[in-house]
Amino acid sequence: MVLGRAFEDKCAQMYYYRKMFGFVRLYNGQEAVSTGFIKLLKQQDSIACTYRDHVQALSEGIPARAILSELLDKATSCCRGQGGSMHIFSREHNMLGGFAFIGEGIPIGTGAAFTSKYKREVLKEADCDHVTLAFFGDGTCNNGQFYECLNMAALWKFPFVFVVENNLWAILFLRFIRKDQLSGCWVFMWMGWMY
Amino acid sequence: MLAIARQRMLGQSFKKILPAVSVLRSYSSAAKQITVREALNSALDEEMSADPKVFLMGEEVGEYQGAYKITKGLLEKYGPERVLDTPITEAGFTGIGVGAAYYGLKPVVEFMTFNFSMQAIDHIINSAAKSNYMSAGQISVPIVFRGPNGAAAGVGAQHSQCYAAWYASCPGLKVLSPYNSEDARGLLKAAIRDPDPVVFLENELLYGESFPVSDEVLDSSFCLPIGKAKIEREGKDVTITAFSKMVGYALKAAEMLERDGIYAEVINLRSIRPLDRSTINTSVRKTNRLITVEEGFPQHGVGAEICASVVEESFSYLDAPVERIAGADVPMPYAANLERMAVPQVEDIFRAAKRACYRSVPLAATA
Repeated sequence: MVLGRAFEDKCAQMYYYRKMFGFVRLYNGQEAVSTGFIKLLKQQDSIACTYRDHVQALSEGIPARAILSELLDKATSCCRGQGGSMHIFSREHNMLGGFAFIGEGIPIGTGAAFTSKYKREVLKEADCDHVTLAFFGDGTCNNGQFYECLNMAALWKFPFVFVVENNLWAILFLRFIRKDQLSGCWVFMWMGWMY
Repeated sequence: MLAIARQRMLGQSFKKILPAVSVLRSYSSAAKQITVREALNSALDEEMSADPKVFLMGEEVGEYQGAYKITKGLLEKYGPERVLDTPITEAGFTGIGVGAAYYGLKPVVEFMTFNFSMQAIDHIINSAAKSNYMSAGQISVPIVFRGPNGAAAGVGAQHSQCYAAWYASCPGLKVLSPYNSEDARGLLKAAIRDPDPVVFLENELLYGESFPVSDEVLDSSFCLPIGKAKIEREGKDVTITAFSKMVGYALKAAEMLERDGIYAEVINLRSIRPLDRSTINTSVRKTNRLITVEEGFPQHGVGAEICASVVEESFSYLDAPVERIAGADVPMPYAANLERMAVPQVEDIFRAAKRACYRSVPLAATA
């Protein structure tokens, strides 16, 4: 958590010094959520998130140097400078990214959960119990793909957790405009959590 | 009674052993004929049988046996864990397919038509096509998106668009478009085995058409190379490139041209991305004239790319301007007579070829 906060503060500093440019979304204040969840995961479990992905990547075990190098366009980084702040991928740490469109990571994560179930039931790998987490914000709860995946995850009983990080902001809108939908979301969140 | 039960059990187990749709048609020594539908079905069946990681998902692919019966019999054979009937949520299930492909499964996602792929195009382009690059090669996406593309018959503007040009412009995707049964079988098998995302554009009107196939095509290891076009008919006077249904039209136009002493070389592109520039340019250097044919909209179409490629590589060989025959620059109308005018016809290709050979017949009114 402390590493996450220090990392994000450094990113802010680098951005203001114009060492970093483009889109950089910081996770200050939310560190407890992803750190807490990811601490409980096994190595083979996977996560998918939105563009606010630095601290999830750190919690997954990707070295801070690799991530910061990515943000500073180094070829020695985790994605050779080809992904950027929003697209941190790591096959080794089962970090599925890093997606620019909110809601885009949810079906991808659902697909990873599908694979876990498929490996167990079709490919007969009885010891496969991988779980997938998708991290996204309260604003994403407006997005159709969230509901589509809730439906399919419940329908087909995937080992999948939808983690809604309610930071009171939806891109640039303060929460109050979408307040009514939030209580509905929490109810849905319980329904979607099947494993 | 026990004998009857045993017979019934044996009968059922025999059903499982036989292929979903029998591909062997006759016992004569003549070339066998199979429809494009049978070709696709047998390709899916064989690839699913060979690799347990291959699975199908899409609307109506299971219990309904496929909206166009391409996946007939596969649910009974492989079960609901491998043939998934999805809810009507293209964005959601396409994303699920891509996520599964990230983990090494090999999904074949069916779109009822590629018009519906627009609901999922974010996942096709951003999650599938670009991931290998964005992750610096860590993540590969061995997924196939398949379904009918282009105009059908009287289905209106929102069900008739051709998506070849849109998908073929995107780095990270491979785009294939078969014409006959041999193409359908060979290219679909290649697509499923390929480690990259492949957009496989079929044509609804071709599903029921039969084509002769050799024994080699019917073999379960048959595969066609991606990125290689086929010269369907050799010629020396003008090159005509086409893909999917338009190949049939180009071949008919070539027959008409032969009666007028013009020998057209017809190239079946098969692969829109990567485009087989080498075959096209070699042909143009031989014939010195080029007509490109496609069903989609003319602006920024496949023909535009071929024209640019030929101008870049074989300009000094051209004896006439390159001509593009494409669909009309208008949303597809519904009325049958208007629809006929909005899609290239054999006569359009014939007249264009004659124009390219400077043997055109003057028209009463010019366009």
